[in-house]
Amino acid sequence: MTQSRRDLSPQELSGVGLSPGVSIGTAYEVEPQIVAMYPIRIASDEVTSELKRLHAALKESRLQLEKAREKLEAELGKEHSHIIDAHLLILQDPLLLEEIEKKIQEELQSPERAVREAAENWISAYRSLEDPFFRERGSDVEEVVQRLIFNLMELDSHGQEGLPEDLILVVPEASLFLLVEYPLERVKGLVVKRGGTTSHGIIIARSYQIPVVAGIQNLKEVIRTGDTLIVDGTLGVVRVRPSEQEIRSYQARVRKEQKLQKELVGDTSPCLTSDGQRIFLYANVEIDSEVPLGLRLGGGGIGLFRSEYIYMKDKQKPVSEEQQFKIYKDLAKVVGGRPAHIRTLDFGGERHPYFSPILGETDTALGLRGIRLSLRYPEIYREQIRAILRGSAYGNLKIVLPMVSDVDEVVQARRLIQAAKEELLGEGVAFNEEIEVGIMVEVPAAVIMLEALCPHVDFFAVGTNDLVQYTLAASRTDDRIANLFKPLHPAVLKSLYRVAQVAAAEGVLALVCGEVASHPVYVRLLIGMGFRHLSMSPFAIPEVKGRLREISCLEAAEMVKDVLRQATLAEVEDYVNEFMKKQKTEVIS
Amino acid sequence: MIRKTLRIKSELGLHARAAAKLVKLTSQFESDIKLSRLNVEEQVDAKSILGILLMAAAKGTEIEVMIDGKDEEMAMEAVVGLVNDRFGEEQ
Repeated sequence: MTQSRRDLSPQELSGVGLSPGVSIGTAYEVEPQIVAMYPIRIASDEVTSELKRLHAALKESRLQLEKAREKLEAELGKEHSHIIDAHLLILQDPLLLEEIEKKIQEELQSPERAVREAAENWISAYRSLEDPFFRERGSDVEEVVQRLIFNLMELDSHGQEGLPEDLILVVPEASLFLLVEYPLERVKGLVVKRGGTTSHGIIIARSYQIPVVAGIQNLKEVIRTGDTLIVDGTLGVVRVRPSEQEIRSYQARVRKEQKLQKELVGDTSPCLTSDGQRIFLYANVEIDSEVPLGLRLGGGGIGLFRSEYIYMKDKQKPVSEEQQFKIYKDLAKVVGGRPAHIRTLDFGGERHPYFSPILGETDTALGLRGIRLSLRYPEIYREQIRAILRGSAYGNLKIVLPMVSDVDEVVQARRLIQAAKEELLGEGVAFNEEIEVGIMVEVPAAVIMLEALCPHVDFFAVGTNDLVQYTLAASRTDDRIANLFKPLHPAVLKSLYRVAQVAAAEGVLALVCGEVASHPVYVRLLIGMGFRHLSMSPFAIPEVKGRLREISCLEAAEMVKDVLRQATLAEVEDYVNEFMKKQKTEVIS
Repeated sequence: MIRKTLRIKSELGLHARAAAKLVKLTSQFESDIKLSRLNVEEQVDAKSILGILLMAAAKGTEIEVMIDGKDEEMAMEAVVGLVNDRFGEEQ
């Protein structure tokens, strides 16, 4: 049977650029379900030992399957074990084995890579079958391959030394796990099948200046591990197996962009508008390693420290107080007198083997997340609060409560925080007794009840991504309704305006955290509404700072008045486009 | 080399369980055993479950069996028996 042959000619794939910049590197297809990475190639003197490893892994896989079959037969009887029989036969398939061995011996591929590549030919052949029953057998092959690769990796001692230094990860979606688990210093680019602009993986990639191109549906058919790729996140293009000449011209562009970035960084002067108003800029960070970078670029502090990644470090149980304390202590030491706003645990759609079953499979956005989860599991919350409090002895840490929709939630959370303080006092452990506690304003109920919330909080942090999602009842991860997820919608603008007004009247500081703060038009609207504290992805800060110097607060306030008179999204967009045309500035829609 | 045309009569066609039985059977013979859909040039190795399933032979499909080797007669008899027995499916 002929198998589908892969076209090896240079190709250009267009998608959407989600993180700007250009990079050249080696493609690496991330295995579904497996987080660690395996080497792509082996040395010629390793062939014998690697073949041995292959056969050991085959044997281990066979034993596992036989055990599974025994168990299944004992529990359900013989007629259900045939599917395992099929898996066993796939594992021992003479054609598959021959292909794998050939790839190891002749092409010096690592066994993992050889298994994946040999199987992929079969899987794609199955995918092209018309009969749905037989087409589905491709997933049996996939299951067997996953098992085999997993067992191979268990037997491997290469670690990351067999990996190239210029990885371009090829993934179905950009999850946070991806960038927490993989050696980021080697990742030069990301090619993603799907994923919105606000998925956490993309946000991290941006702050690490890793170019990202997403929305490439047929990447599996075109790109294979080991291919040379050029990822152009500025234009949203991926070049697969480019010619020498193309590579050279891109290398020149890479150098130019790096130079430009260096010039933007390093400006640490305060940020003033053209009419002399001071604007405070902060950095949003996903993981602790971004903190120094955020401070270097932003100066003002950390506007939003998402604590979820800390929980990603242990997938079996919540992270201990000690582990968390160490991270918050380091954070506090680095920021010193500058504030670092730590948002307590808020999983929203990220997969976590321990928490996901608790959160429930459906409707994570509307379900048990943020403060709701913390109040329901006060033991988990207590450890986090104690860790933050202990960290606050070393620097200006603040606590942010996510997903607040009712005053009572704040009262309850503060009671738990107070209890933790008393415990620490009793234990004689140092902490900042005056630590500030604020809330995320991201649920419309909080916007409506803002006056009632004021007496209970030290500050507001407006989470624009979620506020847009909840105000418009439009998920930000569903591509089909991407046209509804619009921060410029008048309902969103009116909500933000209300927050700015109420916060100013009540004397509560309001900080806006979200990607919109780095949008050229949006930042103008936020300033015009009265916001003076903005937090964004670290790398957006230098550019925003430059832009703010050309904005006058008075003019921006006039613009807000006009914009708020518009009744529909289309009218707002028209107004904004017209305005920007006059400003001769490019609009990112 | 001997060849014979057979019709797949089992309800589910040459599905995973049937293919598994066929592979277990053919693997016992030394001879080279190939299958193809009738009048289709592409052949699959009858000792490879991946190859057999890729034929996607539903009920009613006519397949050609080609066997070459020392024990070809015995192998053919066994294969014909299994296919005509509808792979031992209960009716």
